[in-house]
Amino acid sequence: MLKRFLALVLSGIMATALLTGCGGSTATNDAATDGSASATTNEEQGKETTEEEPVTISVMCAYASEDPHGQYVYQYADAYMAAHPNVTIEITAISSNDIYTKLAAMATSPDDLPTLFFTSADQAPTLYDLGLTEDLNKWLDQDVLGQFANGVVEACTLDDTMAFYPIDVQPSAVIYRTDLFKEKGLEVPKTWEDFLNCAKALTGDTNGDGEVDQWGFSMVGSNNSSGQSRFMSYLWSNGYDLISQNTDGTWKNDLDQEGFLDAFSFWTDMNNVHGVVPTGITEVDYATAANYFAMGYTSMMLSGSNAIGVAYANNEDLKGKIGSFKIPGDAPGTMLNAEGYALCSKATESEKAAAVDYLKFFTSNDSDLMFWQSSGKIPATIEGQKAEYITGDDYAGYLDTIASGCIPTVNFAGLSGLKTILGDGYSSVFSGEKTNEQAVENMKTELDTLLDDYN
Amino acid sequence: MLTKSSAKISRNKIKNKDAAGYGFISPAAMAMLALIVYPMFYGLYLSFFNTNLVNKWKFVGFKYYLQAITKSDFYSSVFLTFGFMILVVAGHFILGFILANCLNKKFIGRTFLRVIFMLPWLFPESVIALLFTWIMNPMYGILNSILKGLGLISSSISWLGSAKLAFPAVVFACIWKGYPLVMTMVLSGMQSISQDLYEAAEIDGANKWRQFLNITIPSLKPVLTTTLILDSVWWFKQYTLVYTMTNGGPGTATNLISLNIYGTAFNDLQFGKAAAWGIIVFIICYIISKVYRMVLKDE
Repeated sequence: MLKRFLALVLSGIMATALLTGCGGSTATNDAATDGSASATTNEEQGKETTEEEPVTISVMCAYASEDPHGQYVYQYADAYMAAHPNVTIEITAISSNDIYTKLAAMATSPDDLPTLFFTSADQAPTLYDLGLTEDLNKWLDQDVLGQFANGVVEACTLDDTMAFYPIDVQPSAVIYRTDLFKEKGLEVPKTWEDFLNCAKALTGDTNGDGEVDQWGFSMVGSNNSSGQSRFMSYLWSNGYDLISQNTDGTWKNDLDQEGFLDAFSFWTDMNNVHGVVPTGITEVDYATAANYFAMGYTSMMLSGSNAIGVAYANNEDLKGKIGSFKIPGDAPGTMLNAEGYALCSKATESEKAAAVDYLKFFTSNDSDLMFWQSSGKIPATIEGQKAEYITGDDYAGYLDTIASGCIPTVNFAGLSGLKTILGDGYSSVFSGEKTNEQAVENMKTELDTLLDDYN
Repeated sequence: MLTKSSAKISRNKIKNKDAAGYGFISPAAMAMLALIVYPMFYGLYLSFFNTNLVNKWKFVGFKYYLQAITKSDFYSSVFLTFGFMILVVAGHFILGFILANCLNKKFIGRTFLRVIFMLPWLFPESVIALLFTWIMNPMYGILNSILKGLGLISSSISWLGSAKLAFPAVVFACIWKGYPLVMTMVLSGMQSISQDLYEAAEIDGANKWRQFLNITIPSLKPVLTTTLILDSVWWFKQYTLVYTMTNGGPGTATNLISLNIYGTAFNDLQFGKAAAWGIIVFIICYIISKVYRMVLKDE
């Protein structure tokens, strides 16, 4: 009897413990709610309290996981913590392709969200739509905003809300091997037809074993964000906006535009017909394409300027042999592609204040701009864009692109879905699963279904 | 009167016993309710909404279920997954049976080989996926290099980049990863079969094939049923290996339903649609297990 009683009591204790465990999260949520209420009170008390109180800034960072510039993210954080002993900065390194998925999953449990998270212009609309981004206009005065280069603040602004703090800009352009162009007597292409001709001239069998071992174009053909963004840039440069907004704010499918099939086919033909891109193109992701370029397997690459950093880091001999030019085509083929950190709207006021202060420090503490220089990224500030390292031929195409004007940030929350549709389209043709016509028809249907969910 | 009283005491005893039993299982039952039943019902609830789980909750009723039935992308993905599951499980059973038979015989180095053949099961799926991705890489993969060396191919083949080759390549990797489970289960089952049965069969004049069909297979039936159900459901839900090797591509060549659902939820943030598809897949998995049990039930 005693045993039975003990067993029942123990079962009860275990069950209670379990329920307490489950209920604990609710209690924490309540505490968090209370916390935000008290944080609001702190705001009223003034920001000076944040200077003394211990504050932890958690940063979900895509820069930190990348080489060679990731180290500077940690160095800057250490330098800031040394100057501000009450602030602890916890950096979680994560791939830029995964960060968006991770944040979307975490959005349902606001307590777990980081104070700052990396975002780029094409991810920002979705994160903004999820209500995760704090309006930085509330935190940055005109002096700070005035430090950013022309168009940068606008590139971070969605519906009058400054959705993230810009660290760098990454407009797309084409990097190319100036030495090989000279050797073959090629001119910088202005149209995609010229581009293809250059790519053909730069493709060949260099060691005479009967197999092509050098390709003109380092296309990113993988069906992921990197490949999809580049394809979207190509389509934009041909004047295809893909979607547009009606006067009532709903979105419209623009894949019916005349000539879209030809433009789509031109891209896939570079692999399937002309063979000017590396073998196994659907397996070539950004890192692989950048390495092919760095190792001399390819001669042109459509990319942000960070590919220059990768090329130099992997092959120092390329210094002085890389140039860049604007994406061919009549229309702008790129957004300014500002990248940086978004401030989480769910953070407490003291965390937000400390995080904003840290961001200002990040962009102003290093006069040598080592983070930007080593990564090949272009600084977002006016002063930064005067840096010596971006004055050569290698960055000329990027600065030309910025000066010529980029397309505004596309504020469509389903941008990721749109990119998936594009990726599925080219991937199915590269692999021989569909013809160009079938792929385009399928893309139209899929885009209609997607827009139906967002309208 | 005495009988009624003793019956009442007996009933009370049973009730007390029941209470203790319920008490014992209640923590586990509550954990299952919280971690399995609640998420399932929440998933069912989500499937009726167009939602990003945060600030968009638009009731759409059975829209996503109807889409799943009427649009080809869902059911073609389900058929592909069925094909994948059948090929992989068949591969596991064929390879597992052959190796278990070999390793059940007495020879020098048997223990060493048993460990070697178990190795694929011990590696994480992501490691195996990366290994096969490198082996099959069109630029520097060893497979192309070997085939070229043997004169079987003249130029590099993109194994994972071709719609025709990617699926068999992924199936091959999955068979290699999963056969040790079947091999181990069959081997342990074989070791529990009495040698007397085989001796008796030999006396009766049964050859090896008849012995295999009439003694080995029936004796292994309970083990095989369990293994078949576990293996089928496991590979029907496969995600990691295929995601790492091909990410569901190229095109839709390896777009298994698990990858499709994940992409819909976490890339496109269409949680309602993904939930509806998840519910349908749950029903399919449940039916698979029921059918197996009906077909393979112990006589």
